[in-house]
Amino acid sequence: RRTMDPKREEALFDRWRRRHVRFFRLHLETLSHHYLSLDTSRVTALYFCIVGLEALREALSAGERQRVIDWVYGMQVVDEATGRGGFRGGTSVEGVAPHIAMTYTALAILVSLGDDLSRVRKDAVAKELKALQRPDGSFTAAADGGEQDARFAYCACAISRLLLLRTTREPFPFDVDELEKHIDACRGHDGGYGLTPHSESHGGSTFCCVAALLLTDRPVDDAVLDWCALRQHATKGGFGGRPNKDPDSCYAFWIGASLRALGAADVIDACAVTAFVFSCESKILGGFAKYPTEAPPDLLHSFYSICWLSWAYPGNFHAIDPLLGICARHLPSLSD
Amino acid sequence: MHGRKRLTKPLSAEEVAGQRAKAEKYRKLMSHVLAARKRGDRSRETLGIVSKLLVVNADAYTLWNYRREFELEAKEELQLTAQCLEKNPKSYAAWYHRRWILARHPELAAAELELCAQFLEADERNFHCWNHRRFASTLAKEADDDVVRFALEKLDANFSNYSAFHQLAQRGAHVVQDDDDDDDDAAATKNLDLVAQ
Repeated sequence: RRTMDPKREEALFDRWRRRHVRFFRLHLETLSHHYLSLDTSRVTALYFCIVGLEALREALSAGERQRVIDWVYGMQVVDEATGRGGFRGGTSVEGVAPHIAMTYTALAILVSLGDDLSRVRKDAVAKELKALQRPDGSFTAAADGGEQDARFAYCACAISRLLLLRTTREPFPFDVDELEKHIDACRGHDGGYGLTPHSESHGGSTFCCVAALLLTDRPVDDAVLDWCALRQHATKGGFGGRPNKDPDSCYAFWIGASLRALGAADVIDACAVTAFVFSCESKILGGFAKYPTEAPPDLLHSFYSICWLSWAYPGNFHAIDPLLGICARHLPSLSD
Repeated sequence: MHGRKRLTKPLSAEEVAGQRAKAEKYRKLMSHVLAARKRGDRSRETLGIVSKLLVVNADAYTLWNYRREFELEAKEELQLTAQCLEKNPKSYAAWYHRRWILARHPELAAAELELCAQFLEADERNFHCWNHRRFASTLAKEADDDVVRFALEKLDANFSNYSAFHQLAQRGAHVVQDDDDDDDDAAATKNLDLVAQ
């Protein structure tokens, strides 16, 4: 069997890697008008860049790190009257309530950059999480209203793990039993999970529910393994989000992470997923699109593609932790 | 992020300048509106600016939250959300706002079924729309038979429409059942026959 000269292999990989590093770095500086819909959620775009770069083993300079850390802390908002707090989405949303997904991504960024979270108002975040939980166990995203669904349940659990719980004995700031009931209500007859009760099982919400259960040490029904495994497309190799949908690169994370976190990463054909992910790569611009060659690459699909590749090629990347969405090498710093 | 069209050629200098001007205007209006909110502004004028901004960016959840602090006209809100959803049929915040309005005006729910039918013509798997249809259907007290009929129509059009199967499953055991089916077995057999087609 012929093998490549290791130096040449390394050089090829480095050229490949630099293309994607450039993609994320460009998006760190500016977001084009294509990202207008993310304007009020800009910290999530920043999260994709920072964690994506780290997975690619790209270090930021000390100065760059500090700039990002300071910008993120600038997004922290605390209502001194209620004692509730968290992070908002971006500089264009002044004077607004914090948003649970922005708090999650802000904390993920800070942990990833080695910040000790000492400037985070932990009590305020704990109070906010408690207040955002509805009587049926679900979570809204912000104090001033909005929808409630599995995405925010996940955020509440992830925030707790990133910021609040330092040992396994500490309690979550919200009612975990009620959360578990809500997630159970989101479970479909087919073993997958929907965003809300009675809705169609979907890859994204399945990840959110499975991860929330695992983060809170609650049992996960086995049936979800079959549902996830069935998301691998029989001929195209990638994962789709629901039955009879074309594979989309971001489900390499939503489904891949679910299976990996459940210890079942090998029930699917990983090589076929990897091949599909590569078929979505933008070889000139760097980054990845959601479908092979269809659309320009975008931040979200690039990030989730890199997450998958970090598992497929552990020697070349910093592997992403499937539950918290940050590089696994930070996990030790999250527990005493 | 999902559903973006492919860029076929780079923007001209003119187009870039135009984009920049748009971004600047958007930023100014956002600041203006958020400052107005801080002051407790509930004027029609500000509401109008909020509408303009939401048509541009239906995902600006903060603006929808602010909007719900105003005295609102149901018909106006339904029109605005329809406009936003036409541009962005997967905007969580726009669908939510529509639901919020309907919950307070259940008499308008029946007409929603027609809107949902239109959106599902454009994208038969749009789960936001299917969820919305279920919500409106309950509010409008739609008969089980009509729910089933709609789902079966979608399946006739495309047998791979799993969202339609899901809708049938939601209605449980009284699916595809005739009045002269005197036991559950007959109904179950009918369901199996449907799937085995």
